[in-house]
Amino acid sequence: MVGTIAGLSATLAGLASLRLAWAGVPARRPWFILGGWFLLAAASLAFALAIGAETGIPFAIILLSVAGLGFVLANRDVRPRKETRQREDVIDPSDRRSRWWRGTLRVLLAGPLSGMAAILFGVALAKQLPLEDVDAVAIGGLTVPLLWAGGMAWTLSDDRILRALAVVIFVSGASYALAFLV
Amino acid sequence: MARTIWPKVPSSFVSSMLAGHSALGLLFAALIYIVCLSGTVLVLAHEIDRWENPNAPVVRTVETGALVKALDTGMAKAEAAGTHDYVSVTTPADGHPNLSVRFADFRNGIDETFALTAAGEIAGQRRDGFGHFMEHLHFYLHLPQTVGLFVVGLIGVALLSSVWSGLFSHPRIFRDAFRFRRGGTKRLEEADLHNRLSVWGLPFHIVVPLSGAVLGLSTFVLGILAMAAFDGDMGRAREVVGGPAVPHSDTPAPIPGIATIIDGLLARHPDARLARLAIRDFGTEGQSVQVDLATARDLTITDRYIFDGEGTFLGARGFADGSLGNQVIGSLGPLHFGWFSKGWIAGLIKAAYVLLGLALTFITSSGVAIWIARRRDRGKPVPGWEKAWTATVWGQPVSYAAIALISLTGLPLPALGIYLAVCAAAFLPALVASNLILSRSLRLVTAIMLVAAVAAHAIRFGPLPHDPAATLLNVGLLAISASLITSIGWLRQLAAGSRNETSQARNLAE
Repeated sequence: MVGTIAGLSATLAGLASLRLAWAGVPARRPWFILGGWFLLAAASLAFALAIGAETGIPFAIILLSVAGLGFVLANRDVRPRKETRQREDVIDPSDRRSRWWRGTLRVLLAGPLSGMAAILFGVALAKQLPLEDVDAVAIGGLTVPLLWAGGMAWTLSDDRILRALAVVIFVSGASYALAFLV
Repeated sequence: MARTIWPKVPSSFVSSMLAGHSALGLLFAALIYIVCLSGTVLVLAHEIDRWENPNAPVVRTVETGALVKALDTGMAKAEAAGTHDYVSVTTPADGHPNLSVRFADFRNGIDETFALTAAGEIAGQRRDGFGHFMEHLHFYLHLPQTVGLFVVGLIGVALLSSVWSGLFSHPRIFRDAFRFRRGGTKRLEEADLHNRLSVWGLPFHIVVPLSGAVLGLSTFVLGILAMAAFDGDMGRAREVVGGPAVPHSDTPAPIPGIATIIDGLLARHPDARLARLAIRDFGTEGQSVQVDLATARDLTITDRYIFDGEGTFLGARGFADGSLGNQVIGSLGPLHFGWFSKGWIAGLIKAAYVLLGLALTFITSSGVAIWIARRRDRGKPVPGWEKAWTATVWGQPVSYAAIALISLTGLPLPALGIYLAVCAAAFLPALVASNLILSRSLRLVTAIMLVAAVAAHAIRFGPLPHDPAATLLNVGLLAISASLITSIGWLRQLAAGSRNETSQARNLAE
């Protein structure tokens, strides 16, 4: 119980320190940032000691997310509603030429081609890493969605679509060679 | 506000990332929204189960004798239904103080669960209409299971991809860490909330779609990995992940000594609690006994110990003390649903998962709202899409409430048909009403349906049922209903109107 309370207190103190760094005097910022992250690490340690590392560390991270949102809500800046657009400090998505072949290629790149590259990479990892079977399956299984998502994000974002295509083909080819030919 | 210490990200890079983020979000928005909202509801699956069975006996601890009796009862029920496929006994756990037995035949869809007394005697059939519907919505989108699981896995990949592109299109991640401008232009307000919820919930937003994608794509990925790493041996791949299996056989054989298995295992694991006891292909030479032991300090919650038809220990899945790969695989489910730890910490984790799940659902919804606001700002409004999105967003809670209501009343109506009909009906007012009226109407309907569900629950089980969790959930539903009505704004307008009238009357009197 003492460890849990210490963890809760350290989380709140760490966030308060980061909040002070965000809005405080520039000269003291590095200290508040360092202090904040140190307290958050200490909170993880306290929870790990109190309820076990396996459950304590995820608990500390979840608590940080929720408490951080609490700090954001407490910091809200209420303004009068404006209907018309002002000159806002925002960046708009890039305007792209809409051609059917680019759209089709982008969908193919983000879906099946990125998926294929990710799976081949996962298989290459599973086959080449000197691990036990189950570790290889776990690493391969985790890598596939992570890489597929990364590939999807990148191929949909890159304005130079042929560059994205070249990289996806290269990754697929290299992974295939590593998985089945080496 | 402080200056950032990070290098400046080129605006062209941010623009490209935003374009990708936008495209992906719009393409998958509705499906991501449905999976996120249903997943958030399912964090409370145990509480929903208690809500649907509020008068089931509350059982805190179970003796070995009662477990054996419960399993015998389940096997007798299964035999009467003509199956020997699967029987399991689920014991009371933190937040779920019930004992139940289930028998199922996964080949022909037989699946029944019974509530038990502490002595292992049947107290009645467990109802799971609403919980079961929500499970199938979240896991399979009510598609055939293999296809549905794959589609949901793909949605997990798309959501994870949105997280990556969203992260890279946010150059002021630290500079704006605590910034939230409420009011001002609609787009800026939505963007601020979208970004703050996204950034502070980032670990959750990575872990949940990643674990969901791995679970959803498991059959597909496991198949490919097996083909490559195990030369196509799927059986070996399954054994590596799921633990040893006994070859199927129809030759009759006696049931092994269950009590001996349980007592022996618990003696070797004094810190663990028996969470589930199951038997597969019982009464045959191919039977196997599975005992799931739970240890609160493990993230994986349970590890499975497998015995053959003679009660010989074959091996464990290794979730508790196996290699890192075993433990990673075992932690995916608990991390995905927030079902780990024990006592009030477990309750706090569940509450945090509900909050962060709602945040993720809101992020999905606000992402589309930002796109709509951007189009409007550029002079290219999309009122049709705006209404369609409002109907999609608010059609979901209305349809969930409708399913809960049908499940409680026991009306013999097809749940999926009703769900689809209600989702479609949410679009109808869009033909005649403005977006504001549509949004308010659907929120009002949701609120009314939730009150109706609580009323139906009270009529069926009494206002204060045996299990306090049911009452707590009813209070929660009424609170959601009240907050929806408050959010509509009519009450506030009425209150403001009455204040204005009072002040006008006072001015006239003066």
